[in-house]
Amino acid sequence: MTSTTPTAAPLRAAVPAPAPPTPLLRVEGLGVSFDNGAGPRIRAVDGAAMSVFPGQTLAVVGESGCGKSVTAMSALQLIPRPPGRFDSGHIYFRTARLGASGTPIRADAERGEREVDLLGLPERDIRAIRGNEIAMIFQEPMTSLNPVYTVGDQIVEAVLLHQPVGPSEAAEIARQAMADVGIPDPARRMRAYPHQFSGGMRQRVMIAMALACRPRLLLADEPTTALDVTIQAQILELLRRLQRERGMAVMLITHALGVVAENADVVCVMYAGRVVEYAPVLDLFDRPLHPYTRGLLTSIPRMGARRDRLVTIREVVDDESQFTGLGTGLRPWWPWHDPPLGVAGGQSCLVEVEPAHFVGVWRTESAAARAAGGAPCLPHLAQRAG
Amino acid sequence: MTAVPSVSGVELARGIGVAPARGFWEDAWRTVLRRPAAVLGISWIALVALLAIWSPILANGHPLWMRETLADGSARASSPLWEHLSAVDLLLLALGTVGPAWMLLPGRRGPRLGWLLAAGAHAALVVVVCAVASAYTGQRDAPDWARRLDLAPWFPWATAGVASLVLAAGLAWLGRVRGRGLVALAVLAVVVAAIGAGRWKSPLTRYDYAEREAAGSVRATYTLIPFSPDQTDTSMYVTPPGARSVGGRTHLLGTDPYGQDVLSQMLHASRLSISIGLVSTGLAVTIGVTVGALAGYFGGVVDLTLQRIIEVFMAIPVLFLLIVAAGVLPPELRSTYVMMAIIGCVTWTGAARFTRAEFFKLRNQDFVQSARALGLPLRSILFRHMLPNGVTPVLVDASFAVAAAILAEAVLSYLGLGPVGQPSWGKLLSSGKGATGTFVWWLAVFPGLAIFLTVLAYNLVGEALRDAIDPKLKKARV
Amino acid sequence: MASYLARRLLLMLPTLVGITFLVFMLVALSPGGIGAGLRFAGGQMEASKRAQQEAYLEDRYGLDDPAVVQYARWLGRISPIKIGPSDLVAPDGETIRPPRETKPPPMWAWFAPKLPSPAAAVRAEGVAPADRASAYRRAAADYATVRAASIAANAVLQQALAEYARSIGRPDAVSPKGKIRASRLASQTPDRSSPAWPAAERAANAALAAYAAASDARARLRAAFDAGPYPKSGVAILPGVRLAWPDLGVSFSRGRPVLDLIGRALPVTLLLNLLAFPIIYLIAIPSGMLAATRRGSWFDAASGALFVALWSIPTVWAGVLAIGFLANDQYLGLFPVTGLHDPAAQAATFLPSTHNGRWQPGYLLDTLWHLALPVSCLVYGGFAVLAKQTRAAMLDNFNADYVRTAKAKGVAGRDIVIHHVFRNSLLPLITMFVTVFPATLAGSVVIESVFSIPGMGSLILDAINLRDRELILANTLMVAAVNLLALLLADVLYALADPRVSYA
Repeated sequence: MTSTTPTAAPLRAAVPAPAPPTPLLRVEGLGVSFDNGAGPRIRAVDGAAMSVFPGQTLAVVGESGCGKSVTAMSALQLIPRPPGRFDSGHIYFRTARLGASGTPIRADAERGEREVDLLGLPERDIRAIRGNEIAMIFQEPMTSLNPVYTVGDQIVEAVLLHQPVGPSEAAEIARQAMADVGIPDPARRMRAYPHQFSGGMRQRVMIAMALACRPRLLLADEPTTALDVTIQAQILELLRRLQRERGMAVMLITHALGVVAENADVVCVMYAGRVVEYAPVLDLFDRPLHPYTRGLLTSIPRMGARRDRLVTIREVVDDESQFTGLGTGLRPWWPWHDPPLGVAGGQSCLVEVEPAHFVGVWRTESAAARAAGGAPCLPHLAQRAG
Repeated sequence: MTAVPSVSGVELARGIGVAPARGFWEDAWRTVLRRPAAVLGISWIALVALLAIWSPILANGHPLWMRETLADGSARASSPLWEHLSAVDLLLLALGTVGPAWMLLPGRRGPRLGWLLAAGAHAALVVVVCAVASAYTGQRDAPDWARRLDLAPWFPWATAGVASLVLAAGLAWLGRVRGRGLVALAVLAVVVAAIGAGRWKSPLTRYDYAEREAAGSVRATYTLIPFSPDQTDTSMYVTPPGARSVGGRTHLLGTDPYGQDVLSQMLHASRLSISIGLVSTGLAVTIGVTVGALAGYFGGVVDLTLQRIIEVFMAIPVLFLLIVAAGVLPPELRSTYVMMAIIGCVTWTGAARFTRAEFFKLRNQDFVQSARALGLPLRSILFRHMLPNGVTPVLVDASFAVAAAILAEAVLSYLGLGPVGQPSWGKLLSSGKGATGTFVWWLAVFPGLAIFLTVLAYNLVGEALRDAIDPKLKKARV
Repeated sequence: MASYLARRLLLMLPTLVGITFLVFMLVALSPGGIGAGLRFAGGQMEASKRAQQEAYLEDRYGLDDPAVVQYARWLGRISPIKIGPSDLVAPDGETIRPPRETKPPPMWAWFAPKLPSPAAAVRAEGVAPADRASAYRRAAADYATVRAASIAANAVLQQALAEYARSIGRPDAVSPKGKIRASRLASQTPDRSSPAWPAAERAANAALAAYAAASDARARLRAAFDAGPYPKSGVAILPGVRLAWPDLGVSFSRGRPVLDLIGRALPVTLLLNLLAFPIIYLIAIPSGMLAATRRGSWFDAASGALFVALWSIPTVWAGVLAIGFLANDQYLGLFPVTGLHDPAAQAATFLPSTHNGRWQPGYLLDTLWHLALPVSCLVYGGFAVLAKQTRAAMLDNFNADYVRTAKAKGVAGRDIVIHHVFRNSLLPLITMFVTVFPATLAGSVVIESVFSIPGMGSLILDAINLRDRELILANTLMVAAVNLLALLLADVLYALADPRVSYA
């Protein structure tokens, strides 16, 4: 893949950019497949592309099994291999930490930063990134903490790995991290075991552990799915506050559209391992262009809207008329339909159908001509969170 | 992109690259058959089972065919081997040849397997009844009426016939057999009764063919291994493999301290090894599943009581209990069947624990609640609805239990507490150490190897079965 | 934790009672019954002498009572809490119980209107303890003689009655052992015209006289006992309730206190097991870990095959082959064939030394050399099972969520294996102890038998062959106690290893 990433024209031209900001993380054409015993391999991610800018919140939305978690876990090489395997694509990350051993893709001498391909990093280097520059929190706070160690030990372990401090300083950092995420009486609670915490508190511990080393990017894999609604709100509020304070980028993986609306700057809708729509959050909610996104949005129950019954996604995507109107030669990609004539191998691509609004379409000739070369980039939104 | 063809989730859902769905057990079985080790194990068990069925014909001291010159100069041809086959030998041969052939025919195999199992059970029960009756009436200090019966020519036919018909009628009632099935059952009953009565008592055995051949009165043709396991040769105590006995017949694996042929004993002992493992495990699973099901389903006081009983049985190692139970029996009572019962009655706790745990999980599930709400009888709820859902771990465990039972038999035989009156690998092995402290390698190596390979085979099959089933269990639990 | 331990220990009691009862009833109900080994002792004796001898032995060991009564008596003796008249302890440590009743002659009601009542014995008061002791000993010797005579007379009467029962056409009233079934005759009036009657009457008169003498002697002995010739055993905790050491009794096949026999055998068995266990765990855990971390490699496949193979080798086979090929002089002769020590080693120093310019292995090395083969035979099976379980537990934990979290933190692979995966795999390994320990304990019985080591295994086999009630019960109790304590230890370790489990 080339580095010529299409940059959308600034929507709100009032923001003067001396140098166009560069994305912190770029996912390009990522393909991940898993061994399935006797059957053929299963492609979990099939050419996904997205990018995250510093300070930005990118929400990755989609139903279970659409590949959103696999994408995030691939960034840290957390996919167990085998049975998993990276088939194609790259995940570029801008970092200043890696020394000579990293595989620089593009050097930015001015900032002392370089882009490296996370997928190709050797074990040693990816370990220096994990928990340090990119941290991750998971869906199941119940099982994601090691049951036989105190939570303090587990946070200290992360601090000692990445920061040049002694055990007592590390304990102080851990205590501070727990205080930051709003755990009362952190000095005492550090000595407690995970099973002595409630689900919400455990997720706070996970966040404290992830943020103890002040990462630049947080991958939050459905951080609130397993929690009560009130606790969900608290955790999301906490994440927002910490992101604001630290200028951290967040990739928020979720299937709750309410969470997206409140937290995201940019939304990436995925289906069956590919991106179907990619747009700023307001554009997406106002004018969903892909039938699947439209189905997703119409299936949300709304207060005040009186309906006898909810419309399912299926009812929307089964409606042929939904698949028109993108423009000449563009037809939304939909794996349940057979590809239009002339599309080789069922390929799709992202096309910027409207300014700063990308839609996944079948790779017809005219679509190929307008296709985004790499990851879709919406840099102007980088400033919003900062 | 990829060398191996791959599919996406939607393609899978659209039926692209999807293998046709198979049942749980068929799928597990196919997974087992993909492991070479398991296939080797199954083959070995099948081989031992075949030898167990054919051993009386493969290894027998009676000539297959004999031509005798009688005193008056006339000749008489006979087959002593055939005359000496017992009812068990004949029934096993019949079932062992007809059964597999019938199962290999195309078509639905389930009902045929049921028929074979029923026939086997019927034959086994009739044989046991005949054996008990014959042993009781034939004993030395039997009451007068029994002795009179023993002499009556009609008694064997009456006993075998009545037992066979009653059991067949019971089977017909249990299996709700109608029409042609009834005819088939009647034929089975008559054949089994004929075999049972025809082989009421084993004829007196004298292995004097070699002497008679030497005297020139007899010309005999022997089978492959011309020795019976109980045929002693006073001139051949503890001879190494390859030793030649009178008449130039070779003891391929040598002889034991009684001058009996080792290979012949090993072949005949394979029947014991196959049956003791399967029968005792079957018994243990039956007891264990019943106890575990009751404890798990009822909970409360029933569970508490049964748990205490299970704990008592687990308080000392199984082998201790086995040694006590086998050790208190006088040798004349330690028949194969008693040993099977002992091993089964002592080793049931594992199955009980597994079943109890499963039934605890199952009893609050909706399908059980609805079965209860429908007013189904307890037997039906426990064994028709819950058991098939909770029996998998027990069955996986059972294949290891068969191996353990074979090991237990070997250890008990070694300690001199094994089944009496039948050759056994363990007993042969124990004579390998030698009474005088000399070590007889062929008595230690060959029977030990046979035990080892059989146990290994069952363990390999068990491992493969567990690996095939376990991930599915996990998936089901999530 | 303390209350949990107390509760578990208390719960062990019914289990111990249950298992000893089960084993005892198995022995008692088997053909031959308890003490069958004893009965063969007087081989060539004439019938009446033999019956008297048997009657004496049965009486001495209480074998003529129903099995349940025998068991209850045994239970009362091993119970540390004693209710009723307290036992005395002689200076040589022997426990002295209150004298037992003598049984009245069978069917005595046919021959006498009432049983002779004992003459009132004078209670000796204010006599010096030494005199009381000698008086007791005299009375005890006296009672033993008279009681034996009474039992012998009863046995003669038994035979006479059996003869009588046959003569009146009631052979069903005679048990196969030649004893009279009193309940079947009790309701009848005796047929005095039977030819066997005079002999029975003579025997009955003799038996009644012997019984009268015996009950007199018993009353005197009781008085001597009550005078307190020796100190009482145990400590009184309540009126009529005392705490005393359990008494395991005397083995009738060996004529020695069971505690002595077990005191010699149990350490040997424990030594075997205590040597085997650390070795099992020390080999099994690293090899299981290695196999798990290299899942799918040739090492994993090879070690997996090796584990199944080792696990399938019958212990007896391994033992016989090891003795035959490695120990026996016919082949290599590297190791001693039997026993635990060389006879010479008993006299040798503990550590290796040079004696008269010759190097001596010493007691320690000699014992280790004798133990090498038995312990190896004990180790391989448990090792294989445990290594397989280690591998499985590690693989389970490799896929756990917290391992993913640790990876996401940037923890190195080796630290994940040791810190996170192995630490959590310890829990199933501790649980496995529950399976491996009884198997190894039982395995040591077999090993002891194969290698002729005088441990619990050979003791138990002898006890069962001879139907030695005391030895069987005590052995069962010991093995069960050791086993249950080991399982309790496993549970405690589990609680220590897993913070989620608390026994508070």
